[in-house]
Amino acid sequence: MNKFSLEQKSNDRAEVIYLNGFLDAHTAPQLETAISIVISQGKNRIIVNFNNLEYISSAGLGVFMVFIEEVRANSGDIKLAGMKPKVFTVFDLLGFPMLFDIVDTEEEAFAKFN
Amino acid sequence: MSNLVQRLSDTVSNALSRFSAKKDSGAILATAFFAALMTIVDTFFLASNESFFHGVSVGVTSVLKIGVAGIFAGIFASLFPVRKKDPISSTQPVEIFNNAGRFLWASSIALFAAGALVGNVIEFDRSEDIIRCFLGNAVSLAVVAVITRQFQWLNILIAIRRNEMTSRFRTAFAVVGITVVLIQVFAAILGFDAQGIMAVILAGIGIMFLVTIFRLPWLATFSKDQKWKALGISVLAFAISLGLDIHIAENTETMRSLNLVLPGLSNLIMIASSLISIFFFRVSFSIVLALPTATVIDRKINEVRSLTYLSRTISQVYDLHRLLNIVTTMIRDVCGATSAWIELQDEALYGSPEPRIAAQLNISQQQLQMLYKDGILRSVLAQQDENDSQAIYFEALDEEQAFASVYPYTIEFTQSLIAVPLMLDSKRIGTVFAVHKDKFAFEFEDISLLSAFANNISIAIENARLFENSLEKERYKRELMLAREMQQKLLPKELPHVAAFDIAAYSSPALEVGGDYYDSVRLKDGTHCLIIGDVSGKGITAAFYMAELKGVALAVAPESSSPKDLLQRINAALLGNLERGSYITVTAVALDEAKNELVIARAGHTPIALQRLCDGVPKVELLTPKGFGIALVKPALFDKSLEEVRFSVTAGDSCLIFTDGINEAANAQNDEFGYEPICEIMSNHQYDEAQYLVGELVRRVAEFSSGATQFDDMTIIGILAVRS
Repeated sequence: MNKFSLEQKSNDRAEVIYLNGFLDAHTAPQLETAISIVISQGKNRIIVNFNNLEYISSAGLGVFMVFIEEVRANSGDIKLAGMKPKVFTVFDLLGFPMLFDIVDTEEEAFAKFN
Repeated sequence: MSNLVQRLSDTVSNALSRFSAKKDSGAILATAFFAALMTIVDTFFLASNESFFHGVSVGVTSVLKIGVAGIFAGIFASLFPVRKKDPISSTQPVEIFNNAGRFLWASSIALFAAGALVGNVIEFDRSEDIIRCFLGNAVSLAVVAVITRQFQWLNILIAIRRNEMTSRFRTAFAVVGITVVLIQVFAAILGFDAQGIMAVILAGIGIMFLVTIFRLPWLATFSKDQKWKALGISVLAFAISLGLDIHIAENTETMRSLNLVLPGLSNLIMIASSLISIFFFRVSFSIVLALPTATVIDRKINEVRSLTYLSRTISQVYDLHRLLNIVTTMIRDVCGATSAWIELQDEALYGSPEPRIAAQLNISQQQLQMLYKDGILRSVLAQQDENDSQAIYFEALDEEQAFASVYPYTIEFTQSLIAVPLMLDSKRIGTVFAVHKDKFAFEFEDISLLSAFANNISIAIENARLFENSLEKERYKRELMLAREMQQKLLPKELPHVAAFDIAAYSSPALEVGGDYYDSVRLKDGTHCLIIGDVSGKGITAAFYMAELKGVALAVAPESSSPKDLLQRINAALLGNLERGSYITVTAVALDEAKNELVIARAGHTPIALQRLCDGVPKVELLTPKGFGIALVKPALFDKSLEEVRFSVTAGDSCLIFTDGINEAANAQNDEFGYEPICEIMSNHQYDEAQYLVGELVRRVAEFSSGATQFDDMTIIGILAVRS
């Protein structure tokens, strides 16, 4: 149930984090650690790819709020891409579309950075 | 008959005891009383009635006096009970020898003094000298008392570890004894010579006795000190019996006195004393033989005893600290060490795999520091294999190269050292140390004993830890239950009674405590406003924020003019006060009774289900007016984006607000409950009471997710419009 994994790919345009499985209170710290490492490396352009994320809980959503101000202060951003409708609903209910660029594909996210 | 005698003797002894509180004086009084009684009997039958047929009078006198002497013996026995309880236990030999000393001294001095007195009393004819007659009787009674007592001891000592043969021997003894008494009495009264028969019988008794007295198993259980004491007492008992024998044989006056009590009594007493003296000689001899090995036996007994004590301690002491202190004391005592200490390695407890000293006895922190200086002791121990359970013994530290640098400082308190590893499941959990200030202080047995000890100590430590863990778990559980109770109290006990609306609510946390909240507050203008909230995350953290939310909601509600205003104020108050990444979703629904309207604002919360009649057909909408979650964004953005919507309702219209634990409830196949069933429930049924609506939803969720554990907190508020 609580299976979650993430992969990272970086290129000169942005750091891409791929989420798999279930993101909830137990697995959220994993993502939080990953993002904080990316930021500490001075990379402030982050794309989170949700293509393979099945479920996100309220605690999972919180992770993005933790870092958004910091990366924006360093003229970077976190862009969210490829959400399944169910996952998007959760973001939508909380008002996230007004806070984040939520796009359909990774390419769109890259385009948004330019 | 014996009952009667017992009761009689009890009565008399009670009377005597009352007469004098002290038993010794009681005994003296009893002796005097019964001697006087016998003297009266003597005087009556013999002195004042000389013409009476001699044989008959002697016979009657004897019978009466045997009775009197029997009662006396009974009283004496009850005054000085040999054993406190039946059945005979293995500790009784020790008790006998512990209690025998004073009795023997007192009785022997009294006996010989009285004997001497009798012997030197004026040589008047007995019938004319009542004092002499009295004294003679007194001495005889005292002799009877001493002999009775000694026979009692004998009886018990032989009966220890008895078998079937022992009891047969005892019965045989009793039969033969009575026969001897009868023969002696009749021989004396009738004046015939019974020496031939007596010789045969005595030889038989002698053989039986010799066989029996070889049974001295109780001696083995005596400690060295007890053996010394027993030796003294048996030598004394032997001397008294022998002395009595010689005294009676030499002193014709005593003999005559005894024979006046009972014809032939002097012979009986002499036979008895001889047997007793043989027995105690045999005991003394055995004790002397056993003395050289006494130390070794003591040691073995001590080993067994301390191991037993240790196992008992293990099963009774669960406090690790106390257990270690007891065990350290035991270690010191069993091997006669000067000091002892225990070190434990427990990463969970100490936060590092390094061993720590957990208990110490008779050794100061400074002294220990010296021994551990420069890691010497540690490196010596480290030479051992990690899984080696062998003890290390240094019999003289000055001969050890490793200790050369610290030896001058430790010489005062440590010259020999034993270290025994504590092993559990072939893993080392610590070390037991015993040191002595002298060289060569420990023996091989000490090491093997300590090793045996170490096994038990390891188990004891493990037991104590397990117990502590379970206690801790139990405490956490109790704390959580208390937290749950507290949280239940944060939810409203009763919802307000509003004329235009019927309201019902349900809440159930997934864990002991949860992050769901619902409440009913009054806004500035007195309008009832229902609030439902869901803190991100679950468990204790969520529960604290839930409580915080309640506090804030109650504080700002009287200032708020509308649900929107209320949520804005809550956001302003909570922003920055929650942990980063935490937020709360809240929906507020005001019940406008005047306009029969529901006023709804939603801060990131799950959609609100509203059912209204549309052209006579129930229609359900899921409302998601815009709004960020609480504590996500600054008031400027929050306030700007928050929407407030109004819906006019009529009787039969209903509204359900709930947390995502409802629509996200999962079944065993991991399917979600979703919103459709909620809409279906609302549109298919016309409800009289909000309670039915809420109850139906709870029932459907439970039915859907049967077999799956509740994953998230669930809360529902149902609102039913009742006014057209």
